[in-house]
Amino acid sequence: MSTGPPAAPEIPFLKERLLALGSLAFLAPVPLFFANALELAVLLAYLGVLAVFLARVRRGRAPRLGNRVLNLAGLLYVPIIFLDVRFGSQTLLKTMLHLLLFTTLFKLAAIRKERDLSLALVLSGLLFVASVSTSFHYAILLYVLLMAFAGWSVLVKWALWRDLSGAPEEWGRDLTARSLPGRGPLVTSVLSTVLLAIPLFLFLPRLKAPYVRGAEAGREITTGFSESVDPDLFGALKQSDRVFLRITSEEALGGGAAAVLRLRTLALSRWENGVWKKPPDRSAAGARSGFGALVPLAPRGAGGGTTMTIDLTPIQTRYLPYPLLGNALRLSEASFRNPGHAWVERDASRNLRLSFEPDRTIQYAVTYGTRPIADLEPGDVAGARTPTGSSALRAFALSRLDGIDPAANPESAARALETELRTWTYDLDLQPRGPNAVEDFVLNRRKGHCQTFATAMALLLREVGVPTRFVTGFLGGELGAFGKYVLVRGQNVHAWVEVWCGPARGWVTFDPTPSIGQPGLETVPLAQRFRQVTDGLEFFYDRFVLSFGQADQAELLRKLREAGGGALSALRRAGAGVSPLLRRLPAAAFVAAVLLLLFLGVLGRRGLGFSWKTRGLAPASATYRRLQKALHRLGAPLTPASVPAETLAAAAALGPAAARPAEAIVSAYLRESFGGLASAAGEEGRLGALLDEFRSAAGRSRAR
Amino acid sequence: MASGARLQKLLHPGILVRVTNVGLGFILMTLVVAVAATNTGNNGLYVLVSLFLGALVVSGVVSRRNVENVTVELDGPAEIFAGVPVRFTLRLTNRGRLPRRALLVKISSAAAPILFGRLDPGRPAERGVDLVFPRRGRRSIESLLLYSGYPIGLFRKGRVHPLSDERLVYPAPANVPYVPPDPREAEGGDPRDRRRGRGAEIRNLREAGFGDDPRDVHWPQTARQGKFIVKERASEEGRDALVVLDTYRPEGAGAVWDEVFERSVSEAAGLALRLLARGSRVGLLLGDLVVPPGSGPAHRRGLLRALALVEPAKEPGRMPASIPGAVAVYRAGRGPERAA
Repeated sequence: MSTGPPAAPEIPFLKERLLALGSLAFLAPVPLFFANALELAVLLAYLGVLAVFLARVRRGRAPRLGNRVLNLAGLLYVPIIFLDVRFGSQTLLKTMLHLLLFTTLFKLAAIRKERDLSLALVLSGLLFVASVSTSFHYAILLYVLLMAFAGWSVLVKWALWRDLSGAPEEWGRDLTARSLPGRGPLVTSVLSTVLLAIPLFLFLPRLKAPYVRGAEAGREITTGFSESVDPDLFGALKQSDRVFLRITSEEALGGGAAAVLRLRTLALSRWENGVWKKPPDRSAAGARSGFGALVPLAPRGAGGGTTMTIDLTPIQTRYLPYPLLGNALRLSEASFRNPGHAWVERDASRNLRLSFEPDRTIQYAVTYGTRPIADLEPGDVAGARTPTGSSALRAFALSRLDGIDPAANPESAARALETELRTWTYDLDLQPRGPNAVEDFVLNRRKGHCQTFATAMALLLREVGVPTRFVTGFLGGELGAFGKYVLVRGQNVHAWVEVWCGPARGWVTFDPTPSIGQPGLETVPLAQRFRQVTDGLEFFYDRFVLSFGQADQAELLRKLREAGGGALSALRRAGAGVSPLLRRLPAAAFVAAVLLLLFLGVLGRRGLGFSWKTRGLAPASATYRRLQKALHRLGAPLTPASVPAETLAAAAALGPAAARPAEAIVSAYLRESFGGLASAAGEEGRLGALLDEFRSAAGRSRAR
Repeated sequence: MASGARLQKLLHPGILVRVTNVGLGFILMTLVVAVAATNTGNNGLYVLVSLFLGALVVSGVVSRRNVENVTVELDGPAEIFAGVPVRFTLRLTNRGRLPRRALLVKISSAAAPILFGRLDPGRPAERGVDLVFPRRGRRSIESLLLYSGYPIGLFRKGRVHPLSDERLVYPAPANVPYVPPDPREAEGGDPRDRRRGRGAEIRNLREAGFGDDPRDVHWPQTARQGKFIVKERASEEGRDALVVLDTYRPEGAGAVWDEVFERSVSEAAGLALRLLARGSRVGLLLGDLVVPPGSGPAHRRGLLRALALVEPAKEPGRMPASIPGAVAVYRAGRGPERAA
């Protein structure tokens, strides 16, 4: 129901609070656009209205909508929601975000009570939560940090404004309050919060696997790694600088190790209508292997050698790239949402297929040697022999074999064709070439990219009866800015050929692409290192923030335990030859702790004044303190705080010979300390003599 | 400090903690985000939960530190009259090592807070505060509440600082609604019998001599007699005055009687102060309590103190119907009346 115009009780600090709140509400939804959760037009409309609102508030003309307007807006929004769901957003998330933006704006423009301000603050907070929860880019961490600073600054003043709502005049009386929170406390507080948040993030219980949307999810990628590859379309990947793989090895990957970086992803043996396809038979040649188990990469594969760790970002394929020199693969437990349902199977073409298509970065380790393991399994050799029937290709192939009999010596035939093709021109022209693209390439153009060359070589060999497979994968990489790792990007995508060279040699790898088109291991110039840093950040965020899960927590705890245990063992080993005490480290630690506490206790007592210190004291006071100390050593229950009467009583107990000099010392002390009389010249010597007299008398008394 | 005492201080630090509405909203939002994070596994939400929890901890620690090691003192004048604003000095000293911020002090629960925006270590900050004690009697500000919502207002933490000094609030001196009694009538004698002094009444006229004040020249007589005639004034000193207040509160007397009684006390105070200012020796008869006539600052304080503490009596006093020498008599339940 509408009511009349709102009564407008004056809310203290309304202008200041609206400006602060408006700035938060302005910043809160910005990342939603970058996360594709909000359309640019909607965001701009929201920011525009908010900017006008803030300008009016700044001029002291804050709009205050009445109930009629609010009710009308509420009613109008019902059809808007319907249209939004039906034709606009098409996702509930966007609709809800639109509603949230709408509500925030109207709430800001209808502040009448203190509670309305709190509600508007909560709405801004919800927008902030929505922004962070829908964003998957590492820059969101910077945004969170920015909002932490902005939010902290606003809340500090907000708290004070609220506390001073009964006495707003105080805000003007003490101007130091206006500089709150101050740069130092603000930075300290926010950084402390962030430092506390890190262990909390690492150890907050994870009951579910991380919800992750791959960095490129929702965007079409022609990966070239699906079970059907059109060579004409494949080259799109070559222009991408996105990081697909990150490889870390036990050994440095620079220099001669470049050969390690030929990673085989998928071998396709069927050529149908200008498209490479995987044979329909998916029967696994090897047993399925779950995470943690070694997967031999060839039938005769054996473990051992150097280990490299591969982090694979989602590339819309289930096939795992592995180095051609690799001999075994092991999935990392930490990478999988449900390790029970994760396994790898090796098919007849030595492709490693995962049980699911990863939608997040996964990690696996591969051991590799210095030479590739021969693949002697024929697999789909029949399909790999099927010629295209192109007489032109056949004629060309035969013309380049120089009398080599391909049936008798397929490897030499392949080598001859490879040599020929490598003399042609490498060109990253990605225009589709149509159904006769291969003939056109071989007979006329002789220019193309790696897939064109690989396809041509595979088909030419088939025309002369040699079985071939078209292989996609990665070649080379980019040495990372930090540590021993290599970034493999889109431009490292590569294709080559595997040729069946008989049961004795098995499948042999040939790469017909001219050397200029074979990506190598590159060291990027200093000027381009920044890109590596941002890529590293993106990878780090993806792997250790977005994908952080229960398995990572277990791994972290295991490492901590191991580190603790390692340190303990090291201490024990170090102590073994030194002292039996150190072998019993826990007991030693306990004793050390007790001793430390005792030491601190003594220090504390000294700090509290239980000290016989005489430095800086006037002569009589110093002598009096020495007298007390001597009495204390003789067993008298004295402290420096004991009064003169107690001191005299303690001295009298030692007999009259000791009491007499003690009395003289005490009276000198009283004169000096309480009578305001300075010690006469030579007094120090006289007091020293008295103290000596006391000591000798006390010694005699004790001896008796 | 003994470890037991330390532990006790840790467990019962004397800090008052209140979760504010903003704090409650923040905690609720943290819970909601935590539930959402747990249910979705969205690590973005886990980042937020971690930050929110971190902010809660930092806010809790900072807010507690902010109100610790701050001493609060309130200094005020010795003489306080009911209903009259008195300027007190509120002094805060930071005994800690870090500055304190946004401190608020409340002198009473109904009073507006006093803001100290920043308090640097070891440097006292002072603010003048006008306090009004509405009623006479022994009044004490038992404690001051020092509190702060700093840093971000999730918690409001405070510490009650006890104040041991008790203040005696004198009755507000009211204007006497009648003409002060004529000294001659009150004393029943001739001014010439009284000592010379600087009072308002003329004791004698005589010929001027050496040392006379020219202001005392009586010009009409001087003109008439042709020689300088001066006025010899009577002294006000030595004239005892007694203010009498009947304190008996009859059974069944109500609020009206109480109000009249309080007004009588105020007028008695006003009259006593006025008489003292004129140089009279003033005494009080308050029910059974007798304050003998006297003068001087100490006696003045004694009179005010007696009037500050006088309470209605349940038993009738021994006040006679007519009191010789009394300058004013306040009968129970009635307004003041002239002395007999």
